[in-house]
Amino acid sequence: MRKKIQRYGLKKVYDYLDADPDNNMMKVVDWTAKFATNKQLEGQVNTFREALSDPNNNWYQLVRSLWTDIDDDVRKTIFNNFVLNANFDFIPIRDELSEKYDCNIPWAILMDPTSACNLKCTGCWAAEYGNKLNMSFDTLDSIIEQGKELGIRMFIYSGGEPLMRKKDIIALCNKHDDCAFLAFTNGTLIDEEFAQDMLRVKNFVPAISVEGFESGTDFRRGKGTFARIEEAMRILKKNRLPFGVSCCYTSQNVDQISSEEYFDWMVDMGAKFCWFFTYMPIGKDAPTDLLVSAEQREQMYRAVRAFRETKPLFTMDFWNDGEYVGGCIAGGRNYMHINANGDIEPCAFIHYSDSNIYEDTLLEAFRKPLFQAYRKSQPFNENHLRPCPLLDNPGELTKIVRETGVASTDLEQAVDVEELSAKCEDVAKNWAVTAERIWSEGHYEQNKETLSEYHTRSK
Amino acid sequence: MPSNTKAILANSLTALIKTRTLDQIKIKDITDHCGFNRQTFYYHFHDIYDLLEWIVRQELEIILTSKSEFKNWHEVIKHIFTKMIKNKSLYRNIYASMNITWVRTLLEDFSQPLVSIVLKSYAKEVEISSENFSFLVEYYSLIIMSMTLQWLADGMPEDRIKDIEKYLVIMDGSIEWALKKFSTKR
Repeated sequence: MRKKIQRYGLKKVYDYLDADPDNNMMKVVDWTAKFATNKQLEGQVNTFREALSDPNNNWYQLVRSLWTDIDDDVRKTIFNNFVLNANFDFIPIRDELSEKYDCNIPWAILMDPTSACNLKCTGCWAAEYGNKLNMSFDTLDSIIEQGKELGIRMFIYSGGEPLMRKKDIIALCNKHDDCAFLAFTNGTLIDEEFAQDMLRVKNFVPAISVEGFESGTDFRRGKGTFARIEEAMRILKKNRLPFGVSCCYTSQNVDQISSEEYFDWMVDMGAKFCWFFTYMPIGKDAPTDLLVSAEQREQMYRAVRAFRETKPLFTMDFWNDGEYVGGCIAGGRNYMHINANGDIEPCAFIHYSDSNIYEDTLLEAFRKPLFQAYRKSQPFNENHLRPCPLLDNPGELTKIVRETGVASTDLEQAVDVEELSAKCEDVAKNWAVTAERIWSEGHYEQNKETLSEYHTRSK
Repeated sequence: MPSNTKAILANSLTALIKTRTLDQIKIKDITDHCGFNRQTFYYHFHDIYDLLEWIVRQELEIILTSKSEFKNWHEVIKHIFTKMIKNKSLYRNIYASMNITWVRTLLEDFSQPLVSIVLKSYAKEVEISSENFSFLVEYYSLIIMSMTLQWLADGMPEDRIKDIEKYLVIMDGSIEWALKKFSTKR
């Protein structure tokens, strides 16, 4: 009952904000402050209050821009499906079910409708997949239905290029109109017709992959790709549709991606968020020279934090922001991955599995040894700047794979886990030194509470 | 192609609903009937209710846009009722399985514009505030809606259509009086 009232309250707050965002933004923050019952939340509200009381503040500008740049109905749907359904309603269900079944229940399901892609990018495993695999509409629909049974309302597509299956994706958005959908896409298939479909269903948000400016992007993604991406962004912006950027930083493009010019470009194009990924040498023949050095990773770490203070863009760097999410989020802790072959994997980057969607239900997969091993081992390091069991702690993945005896699900060619982990040994060792230095600058104190869990488990 | 696909799906549902109730019809039954796959259905509609709503709105739109062919608004109303009887199983099912808020909204969506047209034809020589005019539109729409809901609840008897005339006669007679009563100049 209390939950219902809170939910109703949140809806009312949204309506209030919607009526006059400029004047009501501060009032809402003040009002929220009164409900902040614990110290930690109080601190957050105060930071928020500071940001939203100053029209020149980048966070104020970002929030405000949701009202000036985004279609009213789309914004409202995203609020309902993402804020209320996928987060507010989900958390208590997750807590209950993960205790009941003694397994992780992820916040989001990442899945690949197809392994096919219209581009051929250097170092991308999708590019190397010869046999084109697809999950049918009915399979994808069944995954979503199963997820919804577990309270999940957040679904993310990757691939392959998910928009090779545009019509199916729109059909799924339309059918599951209480869910939020996001897709990692190369953007080249976004056209006016698709934008109209997005406006109709209102619950689809693309994250367009960019590798820096024209030279960086076209270097990895092929000539002319950058121009097509800019065109897609113009179409989205013109139609007042929300979108983000997804950036994979490599030894080649890290200077561009960490530059102020590049952040400004994303904001100017109309992006509201950016996900950063570091390059991973996935697949048997994936080059290792694209891996960033410790210096380059630190450069990215500094840039993301600096621009967080100044740019109206929500950013998340999955390998460097472990401190906000308690380290590794894979293995169903917050998310997991289903490839185009139906293999249920702990992470988009970890191609090992002991379950398949054609043989196991989602819940069964979550309770199998691989996901359970993740659950027991997370976080993989008490330093949240070293979250990854492959890139930062290569021995951890080896251990899990050996202990559970799971098979390689790489669609190109089976990859031995020791061989794969060996590729990361050097970078992991180098990064450990840098990460320890940064972590000692104060992160440990801030994260004491979340880390107590880690220590209890280590004993 | 899109609107055509929608119409094909609509025809299948209309055909299926003649032999079974709404809750016995799965999306797959509809798509099997017309040879489409499920994703084609979901590309256009959220669910079966979404398709139903589309069918009803299409029918109403055709009637409302062709209103000039009718001698007076009594005929329009009677025509709508007659059309509904032709598709009786569909409307009976809608009434039986849908939530009442949705049915009311649909009824409102057709009764309000219709009533508005009727009142405007009477109001040519009366000065009335838009607020009062909207009130009268709402008032007369409520009568039409209640009348329709009652008729649906009673199983859409065909012989009742002639009784509708009685409602309309009273409405006709009172409209002029009501407009004057609420006009700016008395």
